[in-house]
Amino acid sequence: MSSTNRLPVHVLLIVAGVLSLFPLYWLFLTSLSPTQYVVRVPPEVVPRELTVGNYQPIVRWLVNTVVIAGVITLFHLLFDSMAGYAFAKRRFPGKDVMFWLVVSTLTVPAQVTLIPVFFILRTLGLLDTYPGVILPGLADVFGVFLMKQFIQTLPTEYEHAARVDGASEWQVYRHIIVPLSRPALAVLAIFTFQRYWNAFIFPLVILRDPAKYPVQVGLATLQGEFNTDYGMLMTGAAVAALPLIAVFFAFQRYFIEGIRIGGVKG
Amino acid sequence: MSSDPTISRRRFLESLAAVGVVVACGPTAAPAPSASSSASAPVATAKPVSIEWWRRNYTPGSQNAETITSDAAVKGWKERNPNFTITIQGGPFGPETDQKFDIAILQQKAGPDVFHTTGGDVLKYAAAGQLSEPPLTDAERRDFNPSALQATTYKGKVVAYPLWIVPWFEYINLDLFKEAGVTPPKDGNWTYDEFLAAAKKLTFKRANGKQAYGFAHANDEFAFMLIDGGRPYDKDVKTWTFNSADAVSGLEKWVALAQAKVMPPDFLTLNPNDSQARFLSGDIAILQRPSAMINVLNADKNWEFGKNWDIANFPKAKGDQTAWGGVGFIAVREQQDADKKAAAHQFAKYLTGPDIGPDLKKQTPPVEYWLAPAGRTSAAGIYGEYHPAKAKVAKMGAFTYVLPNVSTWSEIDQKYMRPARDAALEGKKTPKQALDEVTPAAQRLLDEANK
Amino acid sequence: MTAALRRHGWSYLFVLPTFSLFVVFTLLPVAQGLVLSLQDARVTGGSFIGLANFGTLADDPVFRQALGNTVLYATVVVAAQVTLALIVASLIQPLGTKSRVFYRALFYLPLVNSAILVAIVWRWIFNPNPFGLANATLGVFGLGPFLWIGSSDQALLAVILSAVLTVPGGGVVLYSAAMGSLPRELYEAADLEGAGPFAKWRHITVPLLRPTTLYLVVVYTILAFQIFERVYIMTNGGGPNNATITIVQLIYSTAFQFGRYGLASAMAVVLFVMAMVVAVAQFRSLRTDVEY
Repeated sequence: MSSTNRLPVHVLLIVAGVLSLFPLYWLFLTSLSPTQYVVRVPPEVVPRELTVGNYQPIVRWLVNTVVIAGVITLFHLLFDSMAGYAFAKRRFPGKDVMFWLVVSTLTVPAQVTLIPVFFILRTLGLLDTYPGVILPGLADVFGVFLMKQFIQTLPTEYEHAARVDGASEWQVYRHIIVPLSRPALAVLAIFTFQRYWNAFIFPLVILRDPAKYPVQVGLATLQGEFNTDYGMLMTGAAVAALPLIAVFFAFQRYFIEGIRIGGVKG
Repeated sequence: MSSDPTISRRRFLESLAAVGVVVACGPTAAPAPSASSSASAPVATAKPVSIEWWRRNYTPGSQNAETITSDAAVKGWKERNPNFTITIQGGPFGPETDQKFDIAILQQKAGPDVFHTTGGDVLKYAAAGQLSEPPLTDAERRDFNPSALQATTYKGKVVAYPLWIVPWFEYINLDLFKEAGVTPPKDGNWTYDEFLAAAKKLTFKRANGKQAYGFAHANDEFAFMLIDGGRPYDKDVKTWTFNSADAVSGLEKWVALAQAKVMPPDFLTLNPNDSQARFLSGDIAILQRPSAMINVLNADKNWEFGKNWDIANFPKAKGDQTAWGGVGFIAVREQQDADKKAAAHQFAKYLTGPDIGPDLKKQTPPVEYWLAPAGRTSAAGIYGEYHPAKAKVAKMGAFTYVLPNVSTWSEIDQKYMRPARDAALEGKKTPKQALDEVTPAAQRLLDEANK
Repeated sequence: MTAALRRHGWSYLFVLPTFSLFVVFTLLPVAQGLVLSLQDARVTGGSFIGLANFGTLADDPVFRQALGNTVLYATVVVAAQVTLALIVASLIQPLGTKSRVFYRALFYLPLVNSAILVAIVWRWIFNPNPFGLANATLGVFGLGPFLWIGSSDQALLAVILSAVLTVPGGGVVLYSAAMGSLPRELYEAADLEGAGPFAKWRHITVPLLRPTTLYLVVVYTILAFQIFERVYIMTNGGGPNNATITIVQLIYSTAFQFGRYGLASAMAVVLFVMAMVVAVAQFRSLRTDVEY
């Protein structure tokens, strides 16, 4: 496409982007306005007064969430790429059954598994602990499906070549599959981190001690029975959104074109 | 991709607004016989006891009402009984926290010694044998609001302590009344016809160009259906009667408001917070809400009671003057440890009694404990002392109709009654049709609750 | 040990961590849910009643309404989202590096919001009053005002619009990552044959992206079938007269508010079967043996 053709594309993309961003804009806007303007109807689209909110308990919640989401993401990167590789490229008895089992349970909403998981955790003595929140998070299988789809597209020749060169199974995984999967891993990291950053219902039910609350659960306590401190709520949400943005920028550089390093054909 | 499904947290407690605080205290002491004297005389030889209290929305370090009043209550009680420890647990409002309570109390049979609960929960827990019957003297029994006690009676026994009764009534925007040239009802009383006429005049375009509407309500109640005498159940709570001629005509009067277009176009979607926000913006002249809104208005310096806003009763129609109301309770869990249980009862009496209000008022800074009028006559006055608006409300307990406790009410309400109400208000069905259609399901659920 | 066994051993090893956690925290609970669906289960326990719960559901007009709403929502929204993601990612791909980074960030950003707050904003946008953002915007063109979430006829439409009017950042990001891995050689060959940009897109890019498309279609469908909080917050639960009630919302209220775990589990089973049927169909039609 020549440069002159690109202007309409840019215009289109910017319009679509702005429309999609409107809720986020609103979020940051209301975090800076005093509560009374937030609940005004019609809502104030252009801020009249900007104030800085009170951040106290949010810091603790953020730290908790970083730990929880971070640990879950790291383990997912490892486990999901391993399992995705196995399902994509390896043949073994029971593979199809296992894969379909895994995919089929994606359809079951969290509300249904909530109570049984609660009791399992109780039996394991993991209620109100960080592992109690982290372990169920490691069981979700969107990432396996994602990695499988991606790894499937990698040419098998690379693996064969490596084996011919005497690489062990683990080395094939570690030195061929993983580097080639970087874009998918980056996406997985972003998605997983975000998913568990915003986790609510599981941590709420499993944790008792408010000092362990992740940020969404903490923010929920700002909603009073009789009235809600919207300003504080939005501030907290805005602050909570920042690490997600940071993670995105950290990982998005892995979507590099031509990441295929050399390769079999030279 | 999208995030883990999160769930709305608010507003399930709705009419049953109370937040209970229960803390177990010292060893058993015989309850003081007189209702008006302190039911919580300091226990001199208290052996140290520690109890767990669960209160919704308690978040250490935060500034919400539940946290402040809970901490203050513990402080107040400790001053009277220095020998015991109370640990408080909470969770943000919403069904997920309710779930947490359920799991602890019903399935683990452990957890709080004392906790706040609402109507439906009371029956649920009582049916599972998890509630310890309050040891009330006759005087104390008489002190409690009778319909509140009725609402916490399970198979003939009172199973929890009524904490407060939250009445619904009409908040009126005096500025709008003045601008539209409508006289506010004298002493807050008006007939339905006067109400409708006022609402019509109060639906007008203001001098500043904004459209004002006469009346609005939130989607969590059916108060209008009571004004001709309609009631959801018969006296024994065995038959569903919300499709009686009186209930139908009450709904018709409500529909007439919709047809007269005195309500804003989003009236069917207003949740409680929204409805309050609209009133605060000056869009609504008459808003139907519970007493909690008083705090919201008082917190806003643009709203002065008596000058900008006032309180009026429900419009009176064929039935006696009435108001819709909900009740909150404090419950003590049935458990083996007799000391803890007795202590819990002592504390529950403190929390629902006449002493806690003055105690907390004396603290620095003074804390307003009562978030709604107390369920006990001896304690009712204190709520009124906080503010003249609250004084007006405190007197409404007498005629507030408290919804009797039916364990399946939540299902009847949300799955059947609300859609029926919506269909009638939208004009898709006639009131009679809408109410008749849900009667079989409602009766079936009522039977199930009574089994 | 034979080589085959050793290879299989490694396969199982690779799958082990995920699968064992999956069994404990997903499969077991799901199996329990299945068992529950055959019981008259409450918080305090239940008794076996066979398929009676499913019979109750078949007779329940509210459940039927929820099914219809959910299917309609999923059909429209998934088609729109996958298409939008593909188009936007395709438009971004040929641009310069700086532009690519900028646009990817632009479309991803909306995802960092808490879904609940986003829903609150959409609720304001589709407010029935003339000053509601949608009405105000349409008013400029002389259209409206519409009742949107305030009407049982329009509420579902408002919810669908809220999903369709946002470019799905996740899909854009995923397609972008996949597009970056597409082999140059095919495009160079097509260039040599004089193929124009659209032809290349249609005959090389889109087919090669099938694995990603399949993933998005399946996952978006599953998510759409599970739609809950967006609708819940925008329309206060089921909307006027249950106009926007969805399956998961009904599951939620049936279990957590009405206390009927058995019935709720039965609903989950129905949802599961429905989603599986659809997923199998999707896998069949987007069969992927694509390698590059």
